[in-house]
Amino acid sequence: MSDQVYDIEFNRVSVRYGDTLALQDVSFAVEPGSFWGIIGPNGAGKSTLIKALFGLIPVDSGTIRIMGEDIAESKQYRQRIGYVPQHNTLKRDFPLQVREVVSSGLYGKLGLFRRMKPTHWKAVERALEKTQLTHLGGRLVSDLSGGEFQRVLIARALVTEPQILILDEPTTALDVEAAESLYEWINQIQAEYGATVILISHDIGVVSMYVDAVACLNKKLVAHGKPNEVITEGTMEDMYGCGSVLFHHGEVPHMVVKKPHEGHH
Amino acid sequence: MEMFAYDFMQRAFIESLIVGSVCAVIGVYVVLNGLSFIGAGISHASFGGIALGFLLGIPPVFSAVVFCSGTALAIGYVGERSRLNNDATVGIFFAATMALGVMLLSFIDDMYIDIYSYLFGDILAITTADITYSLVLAAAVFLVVGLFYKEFLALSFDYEMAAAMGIPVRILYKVLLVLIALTIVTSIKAIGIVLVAALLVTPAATAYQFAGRFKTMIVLSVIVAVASSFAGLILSFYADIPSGATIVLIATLFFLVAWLLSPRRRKLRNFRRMPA
Repeated sequence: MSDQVYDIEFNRVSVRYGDTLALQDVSFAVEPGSFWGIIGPNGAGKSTLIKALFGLIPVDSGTIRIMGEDIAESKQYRQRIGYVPQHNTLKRDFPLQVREVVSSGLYGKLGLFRRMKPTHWKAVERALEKTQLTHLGGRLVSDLSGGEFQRVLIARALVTEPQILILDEPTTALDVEAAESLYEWINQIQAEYGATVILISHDIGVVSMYVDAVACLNKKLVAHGKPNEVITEGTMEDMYGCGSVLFHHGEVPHMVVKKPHEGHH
Repeated sequence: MEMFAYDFMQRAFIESLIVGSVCAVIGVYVVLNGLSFIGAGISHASFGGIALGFLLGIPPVFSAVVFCSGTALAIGYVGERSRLNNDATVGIFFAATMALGVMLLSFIDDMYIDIYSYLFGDILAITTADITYSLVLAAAVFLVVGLFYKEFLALSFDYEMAAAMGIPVRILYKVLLVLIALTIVTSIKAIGIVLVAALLVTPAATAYQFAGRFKTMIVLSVIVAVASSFAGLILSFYADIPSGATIVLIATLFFLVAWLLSPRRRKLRNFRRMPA
């Protein structure tokens, strides 16, 4: 790779769980301020990639650099990444107000034994304001709709004003309308913060609509580049291991899996 | 009041205040993290610890602290490093530590042991020394909860995000298990091995029905636990019925009423009816 400093740089990264290979020789580099999508089937290693990026699992071989720093040398970089985990792993009925959820995004940066001070609460208000959620600040999370809850989690990730924002399947629990509205909002938020955004999704159509670049993952990196160059029937077949037909609705591609007897035309 | 003329009743009220408060606070984390069965498992493990104390001729509370904390850590360690569900891991330790307790007791045949009072509790038999042990253990639990308040909150709400933020979640989770163990040991003499898990879960679950905020849940849980303990003591004194069981049954009654009136339950019901 060149001397340019990338926000995220994977260099021949492999990860194993015992004898099972979860990621194989994955290399890619994400430029600052770009919007990347990572797509792949279930078990493709998307979650493993995130865990490796946060240093939560050991890397078998290769290096990961965040903003030029090797993650094996320091964990400080974590404070510059905002992370929104999958919706379905969270407790929607937890007794917390929106403002408290957003403030919890600062806990890692605060460190052990340190309490929230007025400056931290100001940062919370600033995050709510920038994400246009000030009106929800006093609401209980159990009272929010799925879309509102997802926005609150994104505001929590942004409260530290991170350079990188990682969204893991943010629309899993949302209907189509709410999902579209959320992506429009994420676009606005990205412009507001100027952050690099990594979107992990299985929704090829949505990814291609909003991202600057896409990485197709199935344990190894099948392809990466601009969506219209990468999302092809050939790539989809390599990634999903079955024949597919892509058809476009406007600019948006949709994938339909072929039945085995349909073969290749 | 007549009952306060008795020293044993004064001690019982002080002990129930300590035990109720500590169970209520730790119970909030138990309920929100789904650790009720771990609580039950550790409380039964204390049987082995108490038997060990009798065998070694040391105060059972000391051996129970070590034994329960060790069991809590073992449950956390094995659960983390095996493909077994948490409940299977707890089930294994639950039975094994009880069996060990029975085995150890069988070696003591020349002394009288009131094991029944440890199984079902006897708050009226609490001594000043018991109150001192409870105070020290409860103070230790409150101190650790206070020190790691925001970290415990973060891992309870969103473990994955807390880990990603650099919070040492794996260590803190084990610290939480040890706090559950200490809380159980604090309460055994008053409530008993069999019943202590109820005091750990029921007041917090009752508070959960009404509390919108985390701190409110803690305060409500303490109120319910202390109110149940006091009401149970008073009722057991006048009706001449077992105090530990009365306390647990009154706490359960509070829970049932709260569950019926719960705005959270109604909200959840409506939420489940909503389209995805």
